[in-house]
Amino acid sequence: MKNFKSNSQEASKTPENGRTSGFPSPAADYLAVNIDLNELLIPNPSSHIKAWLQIDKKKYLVIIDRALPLKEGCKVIFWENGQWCLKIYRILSKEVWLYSLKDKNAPIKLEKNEVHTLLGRVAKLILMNP
Amino acid sequence: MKKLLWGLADGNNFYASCERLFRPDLIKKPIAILSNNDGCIIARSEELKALGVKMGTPKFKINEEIKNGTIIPFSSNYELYGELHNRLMHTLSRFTPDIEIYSIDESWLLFENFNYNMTDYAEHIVAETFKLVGTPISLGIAPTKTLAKVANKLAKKDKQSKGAKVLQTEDEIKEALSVFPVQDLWGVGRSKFKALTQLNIKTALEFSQLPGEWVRKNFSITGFRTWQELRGFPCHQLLEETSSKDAIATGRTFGKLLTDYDSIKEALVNHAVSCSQKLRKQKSYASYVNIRIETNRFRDDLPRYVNTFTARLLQPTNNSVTIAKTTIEALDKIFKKGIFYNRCSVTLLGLSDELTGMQESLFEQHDRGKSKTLMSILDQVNIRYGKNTLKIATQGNGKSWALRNEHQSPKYLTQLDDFINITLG
Repeated sequence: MKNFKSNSQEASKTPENGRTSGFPSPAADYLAVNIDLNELLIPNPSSHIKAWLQIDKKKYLVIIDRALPLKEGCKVIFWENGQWCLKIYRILSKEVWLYSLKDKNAPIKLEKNEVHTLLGRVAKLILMNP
Repeated sequence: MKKLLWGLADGNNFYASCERLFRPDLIKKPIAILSNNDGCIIARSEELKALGVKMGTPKFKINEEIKNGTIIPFSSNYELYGELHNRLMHTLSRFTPDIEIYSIDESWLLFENFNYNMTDYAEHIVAETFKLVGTPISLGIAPTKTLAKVANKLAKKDKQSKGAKVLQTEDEIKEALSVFPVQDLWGVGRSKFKALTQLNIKTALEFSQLPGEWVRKNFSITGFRTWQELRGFPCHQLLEETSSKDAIATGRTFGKLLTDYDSIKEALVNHAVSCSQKLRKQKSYASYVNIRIETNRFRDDLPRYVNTFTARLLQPTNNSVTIAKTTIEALDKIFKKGIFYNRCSVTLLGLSDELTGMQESLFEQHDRGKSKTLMSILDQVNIRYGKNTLKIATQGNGKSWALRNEHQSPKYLTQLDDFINITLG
């Protein structure tokens, strides 16, 4: 019996029931590098947090990475009114303001000591049901 | 000459901090973490300590405070704490290559020939670790482990310290020890403390200034080592690898009293499977399965029954199916009808390594290769798709014996359905 192990290495091999007429695949030499989605999407496993975001009918997987520096215009996750919210991080005359993506909601000023209410910066936003 | 410094890093109220990472509204609130089955308090936030609630307090004694919201209870969520522990250790290992995991929230760091300003570096470690992992730590650094432990306690006490304290020069060490109570030292037990009080020795500094001969005569080797370490001579080394356990046990109290055979069998088989998994993880084989079933010792109104049975496995194995089968055979020997059971456990004994002490059984022809493949598939599927995705039929669905954990928080980091939900705020 063969071990059950599905990975990209298996998938990138020429299928056994495929076109094999005694000629080796010309692509065989170029298939050495495998794509690991974990590595691509989560470069810092020890500082990442996964979350769900639902906007209307669209469902996103959110990868938050606490290792990423907070920069003007980046998306962050902030605790407000008992829930985690997506906000835009803005630096305006040395003050940090968090803007809502909804126009009607007023921006909030982030105080320096509010280290616990900022979960981290959004690193990836993946649409799960395109 | 080699310059060695030890660091002790530990999580501040680690379990409570894990819960707060995802619930910042609970910052500054008294949090109680409850034992398996919500029996008693096993961890407290600083605010709960300030209320005078002791470790080990049974949950029913704080029921009133839970109801009116003064104390926030959490059933222990080891999936969450374990994952954050791994992240802490991984993050700390970025700051020094030599690290020893001491407990779920403590680890020793060894700094060999680091030419940094150690206070700056220690503060950097504390700040970075919090930034990356999200749970706060304290760090004490000093020339020996005992002194590092002292430094760690001082870092926690001193609110101005930024969570880090370094004791490096003779003066710094003397100053710290002169205010450090001798009974708080690592390796000074209660009885020794009494003897020291009679000699009017109250601080760690006074203890460290006692003559060595006297300490050697009147104290155990541990006490003598503590004395040496306080004087800057390292006695404790870094343990590179913790040795494998010589027994593996899993046991639980049931959520309610059980009397039927099938539910108890199911619970025991689950413990057996979880023990076998631990066994395979440390690459050992067990020779005996010990089971224990018992009634609630506090229920005077019900008949008391406790029994254990140790079954020998035909040959050392770590196969879940074989171990589960033997567990059921053992249960059949001691199970009594009409009894209200409230707890059962499985212990695997006589552990041996893969390469040593493997004697083939004369009577059972066992295809070890096949068994190994089956078990490795079982483990791989369960690692990939979550615990108990693939299980043995007798494991059942765990409805009747399941743990009481009504206050458990989501498994935020390890379960798809438990990830936090974000809204457009």
